[in-house]
Amino acid sequence: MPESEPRDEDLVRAYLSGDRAAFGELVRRHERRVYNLALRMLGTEEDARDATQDAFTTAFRKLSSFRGEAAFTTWMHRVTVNACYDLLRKRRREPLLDRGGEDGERSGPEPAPVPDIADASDLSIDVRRALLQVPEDFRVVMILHDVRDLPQDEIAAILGIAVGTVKSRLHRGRVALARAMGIERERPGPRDPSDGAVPR
Amino acid sequence: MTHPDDLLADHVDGTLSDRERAVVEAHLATCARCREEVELARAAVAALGELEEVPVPLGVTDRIVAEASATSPRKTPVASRWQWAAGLAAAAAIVAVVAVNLTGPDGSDGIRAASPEASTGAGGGGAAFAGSEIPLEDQREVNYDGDRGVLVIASEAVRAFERAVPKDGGEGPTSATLDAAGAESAPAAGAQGAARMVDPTPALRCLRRAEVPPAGSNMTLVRLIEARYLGDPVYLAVFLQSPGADQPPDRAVVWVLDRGGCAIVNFLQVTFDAIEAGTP
Repeated sequence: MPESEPRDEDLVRAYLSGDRAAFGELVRRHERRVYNLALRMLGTEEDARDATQDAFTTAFRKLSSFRGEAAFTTWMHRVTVNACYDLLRKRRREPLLDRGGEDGERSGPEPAPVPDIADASDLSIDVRRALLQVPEDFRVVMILHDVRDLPQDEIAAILGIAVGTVKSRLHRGRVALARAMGIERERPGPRDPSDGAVPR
Repeated sequence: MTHPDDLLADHVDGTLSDRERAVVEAHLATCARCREEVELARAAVAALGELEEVPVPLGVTDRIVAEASATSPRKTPVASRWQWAAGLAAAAAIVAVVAVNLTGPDGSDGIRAASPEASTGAGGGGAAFAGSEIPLEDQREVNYDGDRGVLVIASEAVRAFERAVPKDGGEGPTSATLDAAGAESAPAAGAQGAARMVDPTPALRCLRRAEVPPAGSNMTLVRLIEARYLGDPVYLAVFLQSPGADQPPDRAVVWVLDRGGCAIVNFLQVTFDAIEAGTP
């Protein structure tokens, strides 16, 4: 038996060959990643739990169609993103119930405008809420890139889009996020001319 | 003025090439809007970087792990050992029933397809496969251009098995039911008429080289096909797999092996339940 840990792809094969415990090991390895992606996409622990369960249930059912061409993590990310999108669609169709947010507040309404970046804890609550105001297609790219630190080509593979699209959505998402947080420019100097030289 | 949206993210991250950076800096010199966006984007990156990973709450994945680890439940009463062993033979026998030619390398009828009488013991215990009795179907001109066609083959094997094993625990298959099973589940692919059968020895050798099926996996070979998969020459080996040594099979597994080097190209499974539900 090899000393080193089996790769994800080996665990998939083992499970499909009848080693039922192998799936549990895959879950253990990936659940934290999956849950956190869902949490940042959806905003509440309750929805993140649902999406995580949906993602692993789908993975379990579809494991035989995982061909090993992409890395298992790429495939699992894709399954998770789809589970999040499905849940978001479902929530939009259902009448809004008064479900508590992470801090006992409803997610969605405008956050109180913050004139400047003051206190770290205020900042983190605001960014979580602000994320939910950014359109989903931008939000997912930001989470994968700026929170999960995935390279752009992997994000492109996960989402099935071109790398150029990843770049522009990343930029647009970041700008939208900052605006949702009410962040003003840090150094409001004299108004810059719209053309001509900029003092450096 | 057009704004270089596809470059500004990399500019904030500092990953532009020298040439790209020059282009962006030239643009920023004259565009207040983009300058503002760059500052906003930097602040957003900083804020996102503060987000920490949280631990998974207890119990989120317990149920799905338990479900995956459990033996799959049978909806139907467990058939007797004789019945499902015969069912395995029936699944293999569908090939024999529709075969036109059986030819060995020396031209003689050297291949014996599995028959119910010969295979009462074939499905039991941990026997790896009744390999020596399975002929190799020549579908070399057939190209399986995706998994769907392969899953159809697996489903055929399952259906043949289930037709031979009555769910109500009745008397078991008769030669009439086997004939019917064979006639109904004639190999669909490449069938202008029935498939040609050839010597399975190279295919069986390939399976052994690839260590397929893995030891102790409770798989029984029911069909061997020589064909193409996504354009490449392969062997398709269809097994019925049991969850445990003395239990009836609950799924079909197809291994796709590259004919040249016997590497495992793909493998797919479909459970009996999924076929019943129509969702393989």
